[in-house]
Amino acid sequence: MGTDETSQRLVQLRFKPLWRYVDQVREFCGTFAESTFEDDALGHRVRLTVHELIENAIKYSPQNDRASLGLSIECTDASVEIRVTNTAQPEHAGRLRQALAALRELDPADAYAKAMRRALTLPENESGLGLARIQHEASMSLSVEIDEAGRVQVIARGSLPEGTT
Amino acid sequence: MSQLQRLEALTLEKIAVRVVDEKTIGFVGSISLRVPSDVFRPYFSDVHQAAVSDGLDELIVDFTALDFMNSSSIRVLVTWLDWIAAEPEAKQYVLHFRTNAATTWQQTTLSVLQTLSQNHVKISSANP
Repeated sequence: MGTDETSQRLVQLRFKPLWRYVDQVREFCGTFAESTFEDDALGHRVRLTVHELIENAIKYSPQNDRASLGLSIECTDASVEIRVTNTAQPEHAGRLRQALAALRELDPADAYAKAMRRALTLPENESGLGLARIQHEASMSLSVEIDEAGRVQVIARGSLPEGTT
Repeated sequence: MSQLQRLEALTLEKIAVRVVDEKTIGFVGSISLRVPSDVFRPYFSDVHQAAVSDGLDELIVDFTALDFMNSSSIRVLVTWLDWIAAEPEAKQYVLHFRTNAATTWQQTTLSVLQTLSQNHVKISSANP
C-alpha cells in the first residue's frame, strides 16, 4: 500500500520504545483518525490497534540508546493501514509469524476466545491477547514483514466504513 | 458492613477502582499498566474473596466510566473468571459487567469473555 499511488500517509512517527509514550501515542492516533474520517468507531479501531501493536513492540525491543520504534498510518479510499516497526530478536520474529498464521485460520471471535483460554497457561505478566484482540475488536487483518537487518514490521489493515472520506 | 465494603479504593495515576455498595465496584479512568498483574491481581483477589465471604450471587462491575483497558489487564479478568469457576458451586457468583454502550471495546471483549463461562458473566449496557 505504501507504493500505491492512491495511498495517503496520514501519520508518521518515530520514537524511543519507552512505555511512557504508549498512552499519548494511542490517544493522538485515535483522535487523529476520528477527526480525519469523522467516524468515532474508526477512531476506536485505530486507538486499540496502535496501543496493542506498540505495547508489543516496546516489550520486545532492545532497550538501548539506538533503539527506535516507527509507526505510520496510511489510507486509500477503501482501507486504513497501520504499520509498527521495531527491531526484535530473530526467535521473537519467528514466533510472531507463526502466531499470525494461526490467528488467520480461525474466526476472529473464536481466535480471541482461544487466546483468552491460553492466557491462563502463560506466566502472569504475559497475556498473548493483543493480536487476537486487534483482529476481532478492530476488524483488522494482520501480517508481518521481516527484513535482513532484523527490523520487524507488523501491518494491520482494515476496511474503511462505506462513505468515509 | 460487608467484607466488600471494607475494601479500600485502589487509586493509581490514571485509574481508580472503588467499592460503590455492598455488591458493586466501579472503575473510573483507563488501564494501560505494563504489568497489571502486579496491582490488579491482588486487588481483584481481595474483591473475589470478599464476594465469596459475603455470599454474593452477583457482583456488579461498573465499567461505564472506564475508557480503555489493555490486553494485559483483560488477562486479569480471565484469571478472575477462573477463580470463580474453581469455587464450590454454592460459592460461585456472577460477574455482572455494567458497560458503556459508546465504548466499543467493552462490548466486544466482554462478549468473548462471556463465551468462556456463560454462567458466570452477565453484561448490561447503559447509554452514556
